[in-house]
Amino acid sequence: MLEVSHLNFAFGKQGLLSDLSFTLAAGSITGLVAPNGTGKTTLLRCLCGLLPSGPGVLHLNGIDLYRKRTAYLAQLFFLENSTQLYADLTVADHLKYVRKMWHSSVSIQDTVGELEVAGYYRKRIRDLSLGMKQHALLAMYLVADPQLLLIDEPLNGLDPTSIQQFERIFTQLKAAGKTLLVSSHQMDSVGRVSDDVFFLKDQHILAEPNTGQDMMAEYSRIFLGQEAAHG
Amino acid sequence: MVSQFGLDFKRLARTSTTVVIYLAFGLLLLTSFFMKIHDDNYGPGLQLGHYTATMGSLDKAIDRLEKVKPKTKQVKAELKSKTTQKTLIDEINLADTQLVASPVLSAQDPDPVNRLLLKLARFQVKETAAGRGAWLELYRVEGEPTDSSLLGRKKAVLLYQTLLKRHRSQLFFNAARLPAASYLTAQLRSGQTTLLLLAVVVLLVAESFTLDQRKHTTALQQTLPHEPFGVLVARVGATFVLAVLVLAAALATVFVIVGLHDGWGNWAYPLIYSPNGRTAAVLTLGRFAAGWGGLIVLAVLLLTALGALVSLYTAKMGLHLASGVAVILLAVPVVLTAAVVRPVVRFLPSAYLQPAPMLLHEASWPQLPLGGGLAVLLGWTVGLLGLGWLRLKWHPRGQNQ
Repeated sequence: MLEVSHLNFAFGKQGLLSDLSFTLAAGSITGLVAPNGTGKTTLLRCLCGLLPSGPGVLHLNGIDLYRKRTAYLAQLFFLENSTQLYADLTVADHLKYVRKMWHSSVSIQDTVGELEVAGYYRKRIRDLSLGMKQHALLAMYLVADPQLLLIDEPLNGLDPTSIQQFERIFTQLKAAGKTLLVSSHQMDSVGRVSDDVFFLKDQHILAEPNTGQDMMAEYSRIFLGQEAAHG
Repeated sequence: MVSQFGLDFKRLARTSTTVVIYLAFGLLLLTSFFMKIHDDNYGPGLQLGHYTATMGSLDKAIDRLEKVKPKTKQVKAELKSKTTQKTLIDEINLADTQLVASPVLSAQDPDPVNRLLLKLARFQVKETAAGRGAWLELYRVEGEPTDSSLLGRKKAVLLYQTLLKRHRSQLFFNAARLPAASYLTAQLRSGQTTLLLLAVVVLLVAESFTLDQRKHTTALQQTLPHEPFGVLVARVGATFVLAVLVLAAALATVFVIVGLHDGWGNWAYPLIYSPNGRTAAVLTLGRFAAGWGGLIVLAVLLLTALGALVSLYTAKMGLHLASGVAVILLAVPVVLTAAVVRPVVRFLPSAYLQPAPMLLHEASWPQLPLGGGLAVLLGWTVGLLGLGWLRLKWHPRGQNQ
């Protein structure tokens, strides 16, 4: 379980996150939704310690990021996007590396089979399409086998078949007791897989349980409605 | 951390910089070879010229002394010394003329000339020890500095004794056509070449420690569930091993290229040095090359540790290059012998970046003995890594925090 208490973050004088407090339970999927440039990725970076948050703010299964950084990081995986993969290395190199570094026992072969990446398993990242890279990146999440998966816009560049495949895997991970925080602009997908949705607006989180409501309508109400009022 | 080492090594090895580094090493080492590739093997010819010139000097000196009237006891002694020298050089000149005219004969039987050279060298030791060194007309040896001291004469004796014992012709290390073992040794003895090789290492180190920043791939490294210092040490290890392997590959390539063109040479050829400033000793080319390799490996490790520390403060390639080049510039003799650094120079790593003066005890700046030099290089390396450990203790994400 991830517990966030009074998280603040600003780039210089420009505040992005203000006094955020929330909890992500084990065995849950939380959607993170906001227009571009409003702090989704910043929040994910804070949660994994890439950006400073201060002591006592982040606890993952009771472990404070600032007190036991290594033990905290061992329970999560986050790689912002597939452009951060190593272009000169193969998918195989990445998966073997992640498996060792996260001391995981997940079978690479099984993951490769499940995600259908066998065809380009031995290809270098630079030779892959965006969709292939997204598959390789998700394979890294699976092979690392962390408790908390922070995933930033995983559906970019995917065809409908792959989107369904990714959603199925997210659901399987949830069933296995994992905690997923998934940022996305695909509101229909958010509606299909999320238990709760965090709408990040004006540096604060508006948390809504997913009761089957039309997420695009919610998005429009929360974000576009405000823009209309301003207009 | 083996996985981290493997990943870093593979990533770095696959960059185009590694190929550029390999070519740069090779070109540096082969410049002299290519510049003289169409020249004749003039080393022995020049040396014969030196014998002839010395004979000329002796003739003039003898003429001058014979005209002195009346001849004092000292003039007579000097005349006797010069006459003896002329006789010995005459014999050397005659034997050497035959050898230069017939290189095949030289390769088959260099002993007669070596025997005559040894005879002259022994005479010179005796004269120098008796305080009559000023009367000696010392001939120049191609590629070597002229040393008129008693130690210098002792070195000459040991050289010809060893050559005679091993039935080898004398090599002149600035000759146009040197066999591979001697050519490489001549290159490695050059302080300038060594420092340029280290400058190329600095480029590889800078590439390694700025790679992630330039390719925007820092994130994964910063969220690893491992101590950041361990990750840094793995990067140091990968960079160090790659640099050493690329340098070794370049040296091997140069050896093969020169060997195919000019022959392989012999690693048992003697280099003469003085370990204590009083006596002469033999160091074979093979042992010199091994010692050079060991010391250069430590120098590479030091530069890698420096790059690691700098990477915790900046990812700018220019600053990485500047820090490495600064250490190398401090290793230039004119800096090391400057009065301002003289009191502390023996404790600076730069004093030990050139293996040849250390191995042959020829440094013109203060140095600790070989063991002390190794301790200084390793001590600074450990110190730099220790500073990196401290930095990461307080700033686990390095320069980005």
